[in-house]
Amino acid sequence: MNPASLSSPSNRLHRTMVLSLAIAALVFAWVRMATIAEVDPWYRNTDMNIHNMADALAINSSHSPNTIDQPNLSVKFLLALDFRVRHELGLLPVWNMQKFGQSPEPLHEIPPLIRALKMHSRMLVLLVILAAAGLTYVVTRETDSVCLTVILLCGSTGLLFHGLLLRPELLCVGLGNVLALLCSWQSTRATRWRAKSMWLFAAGILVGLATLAKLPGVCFLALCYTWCWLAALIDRAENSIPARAAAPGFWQGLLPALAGVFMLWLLSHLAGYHDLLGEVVVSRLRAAAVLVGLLPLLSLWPRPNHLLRFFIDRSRELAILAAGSLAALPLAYLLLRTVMSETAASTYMARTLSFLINPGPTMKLFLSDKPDLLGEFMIFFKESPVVCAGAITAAIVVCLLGNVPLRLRAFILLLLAGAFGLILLMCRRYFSDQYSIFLQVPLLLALALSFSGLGIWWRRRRPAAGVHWTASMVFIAAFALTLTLYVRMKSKYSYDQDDVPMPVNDLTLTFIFDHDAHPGSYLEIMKSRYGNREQFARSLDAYLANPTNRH
Amino acid sequence: MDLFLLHFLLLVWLSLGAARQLTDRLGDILLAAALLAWGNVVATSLLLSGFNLLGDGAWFLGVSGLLAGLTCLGLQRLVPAPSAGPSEPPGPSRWLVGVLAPILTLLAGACFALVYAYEPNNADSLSYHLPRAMYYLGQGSLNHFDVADPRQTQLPFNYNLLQLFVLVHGAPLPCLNFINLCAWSAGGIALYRLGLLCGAEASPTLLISLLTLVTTGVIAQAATTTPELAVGVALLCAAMFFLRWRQDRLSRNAWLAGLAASLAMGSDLRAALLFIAGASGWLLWVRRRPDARSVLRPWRAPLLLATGLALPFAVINLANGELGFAVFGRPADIPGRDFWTGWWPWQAPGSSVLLNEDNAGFGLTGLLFLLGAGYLARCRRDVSSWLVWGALAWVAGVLICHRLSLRPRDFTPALLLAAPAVASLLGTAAFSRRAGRGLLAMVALTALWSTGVYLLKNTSRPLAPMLHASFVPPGVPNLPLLVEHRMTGQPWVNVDTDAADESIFPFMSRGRGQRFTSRSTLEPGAYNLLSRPAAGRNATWSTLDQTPAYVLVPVESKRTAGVEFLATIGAGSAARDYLGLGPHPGETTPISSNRTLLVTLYRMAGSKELVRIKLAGLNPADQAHLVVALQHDDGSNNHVATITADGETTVAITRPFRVLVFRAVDSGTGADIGSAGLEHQANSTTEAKPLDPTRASSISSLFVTDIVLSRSHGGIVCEGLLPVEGPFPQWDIPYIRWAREPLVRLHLPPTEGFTRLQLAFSFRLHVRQRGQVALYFNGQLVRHYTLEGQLNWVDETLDLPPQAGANILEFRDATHKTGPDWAEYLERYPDVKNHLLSANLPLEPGAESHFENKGRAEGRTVKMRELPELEPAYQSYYFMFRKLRLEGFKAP
Repeated sequence: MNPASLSSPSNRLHRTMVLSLAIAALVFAWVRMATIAEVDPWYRNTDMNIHNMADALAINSSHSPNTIDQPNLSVKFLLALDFRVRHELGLLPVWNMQKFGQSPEPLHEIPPLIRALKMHSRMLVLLVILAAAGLTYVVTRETDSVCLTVILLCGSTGLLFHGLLLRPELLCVGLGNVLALLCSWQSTRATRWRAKSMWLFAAGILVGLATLAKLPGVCFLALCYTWCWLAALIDRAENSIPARAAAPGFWQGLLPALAGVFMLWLLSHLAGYHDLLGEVVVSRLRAAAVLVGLLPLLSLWPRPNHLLRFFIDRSRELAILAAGSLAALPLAYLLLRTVMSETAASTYMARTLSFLINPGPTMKLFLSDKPDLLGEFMIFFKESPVVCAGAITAAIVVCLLGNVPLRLRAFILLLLAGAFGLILLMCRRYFSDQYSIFLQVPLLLALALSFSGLGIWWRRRRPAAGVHWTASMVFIAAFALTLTLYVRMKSKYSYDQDDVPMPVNDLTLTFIFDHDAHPGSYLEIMKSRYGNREQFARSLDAYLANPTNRH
Repeated sequence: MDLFLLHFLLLVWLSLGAARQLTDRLGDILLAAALLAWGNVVATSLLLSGFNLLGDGAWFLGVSGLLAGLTCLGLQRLVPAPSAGPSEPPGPSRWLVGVLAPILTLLAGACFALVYAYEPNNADSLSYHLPRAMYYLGQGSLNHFDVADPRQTQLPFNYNLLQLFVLVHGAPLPCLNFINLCAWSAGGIALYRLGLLCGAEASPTLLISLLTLVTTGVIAQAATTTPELAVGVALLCAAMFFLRWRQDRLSRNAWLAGLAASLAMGSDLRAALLFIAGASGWLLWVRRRPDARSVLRPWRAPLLLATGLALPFAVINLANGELGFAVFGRPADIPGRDFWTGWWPWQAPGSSVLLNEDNAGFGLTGLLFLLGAGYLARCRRDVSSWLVWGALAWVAGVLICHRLSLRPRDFTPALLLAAPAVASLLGTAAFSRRAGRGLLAMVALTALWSTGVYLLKNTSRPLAPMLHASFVPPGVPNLPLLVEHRMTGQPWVNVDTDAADESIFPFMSRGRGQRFTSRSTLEPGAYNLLSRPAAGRNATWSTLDQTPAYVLVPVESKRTAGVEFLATIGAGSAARDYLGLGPHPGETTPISSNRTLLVTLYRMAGSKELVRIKLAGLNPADQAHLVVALQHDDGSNNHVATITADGETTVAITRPFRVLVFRAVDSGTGADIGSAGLEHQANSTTEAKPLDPTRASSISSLFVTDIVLSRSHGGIVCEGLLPVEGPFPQWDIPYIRWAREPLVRLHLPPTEGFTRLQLAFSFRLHVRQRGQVALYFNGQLVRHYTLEGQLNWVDETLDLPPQAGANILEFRDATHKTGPDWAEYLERYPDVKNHLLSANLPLEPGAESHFENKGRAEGRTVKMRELPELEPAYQSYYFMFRKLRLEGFKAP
């Protein structure tokens, strides 16, 4: 862009408007989420809310939570930390299971905990939006695109829905689809081998943590690795290979080797829990640790030709990425150890790994044998037809324009492919409301990046011209879309859960009182205080009879 | 396993990090890394041995990691080795690489599959390579331990320390095979590099390297646990780095050559002799040169390193008063004639021919190399001729050391040494001619075919069955259930064996985290596994020169646990009897199978009269002692010795005798409580007795049998017992016989002079909670036994007076049904009785009605009584007998 044009009054006005709209969109999104949460009864969405709350209390009491159909470890750990911090700040009197049990009325302690949980979700949503803005920035280095990303994401029902309840999809997407891709991008732009390796390793760790939140997070490893290939191919095509080949193969291989050692240390540390882990899990983890540790040995290959060098470099990148993902497991264990005893942390880690590394048996129970992929996909499409159609159209247009950098086009296509690929995978479980975040966030990112691509095309075509007037229109349109958020989200949220009427339904009662996925200590507390289910139902009804106790 | 993999990864990377500072080419880096890793394991073992910490996996990992880290970091200060210059010779032809690479990949894959699937099963490894490492781990140091086989202690141990590295972390047994697979791979690299350094062209060197690798005798060792291949590769590495030093005079190459030499010398005595001879010759040659000082200076430190890593075994030998050459005086494992049977490996193995790594030969490749070596030794005077002389010296060393006790695998290092030299020969002469190429192709094809046959059909670890999905490769030989059951839970097992070639490793591979020591003295805190020759069980005084003899002295009234006979393993002269003595036997209650003393007799070397008597199983709490006496033909006795505790006693037996009697005597009463004897001369008319745990307890015994354990009952007829079953260690049940009928009857035939019957039995219930048994002897009730609980054994020993003629012994089930005693109820509660009488109600039904309707609520109780009818056991499982021993005595 012409520097003179940047400082023109119209551009300054445009910049001011864009920044204002972005900030307004953020504030608007926050207010909307807070408004809905304020009037939303606490006993709604108990499926995950109460479950996460009870597990966070258990973690803070050094009790091992149970693992059900998702690892959800990073979500629960962060919530447990949040409870601790709030307690230290004097905002939350009950922060662990002991305090919960000591309360004369444990039931009365649940609403404030749920409120804290919802506040935690909103903050996570905000952080994901900012992280996505960061990704747009490192890719485009343009404020406009960053602001557009913020505005678009603030209008995403798929994303903001997760600000009203606590589910693992939010962290999975935030860590895997946003931050891990950001690190991968940075890795391919780095010129020093140390920076390249560290960015890639960080991407691996983020993917690992995303997987620890929700199993499909592992797919982001393929996304990041695909980007490594695409970037390398683009560099070759453009003859713009960064001067990083001088890195000694030995030192580059040390990081995966250390990750392998770290993983084996964890396995050795969990030796007493191998029965809980199962033979398959232990074998897979051992094999992964050794393969990741030894794969970089290929770098020592003497005088490889160009093709072989290319493959060796990719194998090294795979090793570092996988090493990061693998290192996330012992890292998670060490994080758990900061708040839990060795026995509790080991048990929890063993349960999580048992599911995470060998999910087949559990998944068979939950996945549909004959999924109606198209029908389910159309549900996702119907929820956000404008976003889907707009992102695809914009991507096609940008890809057809010759002046747009190949790298940007490839990244947009990767985001689209990742979004549709993952959502097709998720169609085997009929959770469209919860899973639309997997589609909407990458599509909106692709949309924002396409907008940047169009801008580049325009500036290259008319170097002297300032910002095209349509750009401002796009921002205003996007913001207008954000204003409709409340209506769209309210209906989505209500459609998802029909648990408002009183008395509470059986499922809600189960999740509050005696769901077998809750930690034993929680069940004991509830049972010892309220007796059997019928007695608890009476207590709950009596408590909720007062309307002030419902929110 | 996890710590092993962790340690392995650490060693790989830190050794590579160090090696890349020492040398330049990839092949050399890999070889140097392998040498550094092996050297690290040896140094760690030596260091930890000094502090008796060798068996601690955490210490091993820590010290090894620290050493490797320090080496890696220390070498980073070195200027990296100069990279290969433009003088690098051209590589092998592409078509040759294209042809050989798939073949090598296929064979390497096959070896990998074998290594992964099979547990170690080489006879030498099971008898002394692996047990040696286990004993080192058990005692925490590399010191000698008590063995009858000098190979376990006196041979160099550097290769065994690699096995120790695997075993210290409790890795699965197939991991042990990977050592040789790595050595095989390293051998390929070393052969190629050494061939080039000898001046050969790349293509013939590559071809000869591959030919050597696929030679049956070499590839057979790639998937096993024998040391010769690793020793040969270490020799190659030493030669290779020596030649590199000769080229560039870099002291780092001298260091690596010294390291390789030390590892080879410390692994094989023959390699040590070869190096000493070679180094002496080279020194003499160098000293005549004017620049001798400058040539020798870089070798001072490597020489020290080589000494430090190679000679500890010799120092330990000397400290124990041994020179280490006793191993060569052993009788041949494989007679000389067998040496030739496997030499030509294209002979497909028949049913009677053993084809494994011990006797897989080298075929035409060996012949070709032999001819080439002969030609080179005669016509050449360059570095390749040095290698040939080294190979010939190795062959001479093997022939001298082993005489006719030869195995083809002993020649593996010689073949490896000769290969690079032959490559240089082919490069200049034969390879350039069509006939030579044809000959080479024929040899290569023959080698490939032989190797294929070997890999698919060898008798130790064949590949062919693995091609079937259902095949499960056999592991280490199984042990009898009772042995496995007794040993699995023991944290510390002490092995006391007098065998020189015993496959003891299978005993060590069953449990996890077990510690094994080998001491001839009994360890009270350990489970003592006693191994004796099966032939010694029925031996006599006159055969004591050939084999040790042992007798078991049964002591029925033994107060504490004694020796338990576990099993006989093997057949023929190699069969061994295994007996066990549990930990802290003096504080343990005996069971029916371990009320025994073990007396072993060894003739002292060079003496016909002195005998070493070794006693096991007699504890102070038994309050008994063992009297050794000579019994003469006229019935008179001569006292020889009195032994009061476990241990060894040497006695002199100078007079002729008929039976050497061992009598267990109660120290309090002076009564004989058990006896056994060793006859002077075998009675040729009597058949050798099988092992009978019911051996007579006295020399006045007329007959003895155990209805459960004995194979023959000598005319005693048993009714009512099922055939013997078990043992079932998983339920802690030994050999048993079921009583599936309410009556067990034993008919004892008329026996002349029969004055006393000793009956010892042990039985229990199985399905019923409570039972009663009445024991009858000749129709007279002897005793009633009440059995409580399903798992409690009732043990009893009785002396019964027999009648003249036949005798009948009966165990009758006397378990009656029980029911409420209403009469007693009415007696206890007269108000109830009065009420019934006044109401004119029947008494017993009325009492029952009252109890159910009112009495129970009022807190009244009903007592049970036995009913007249007997209670049958569910599915007729009345009792199980684990012992039913009958011993008849004549008048003393």
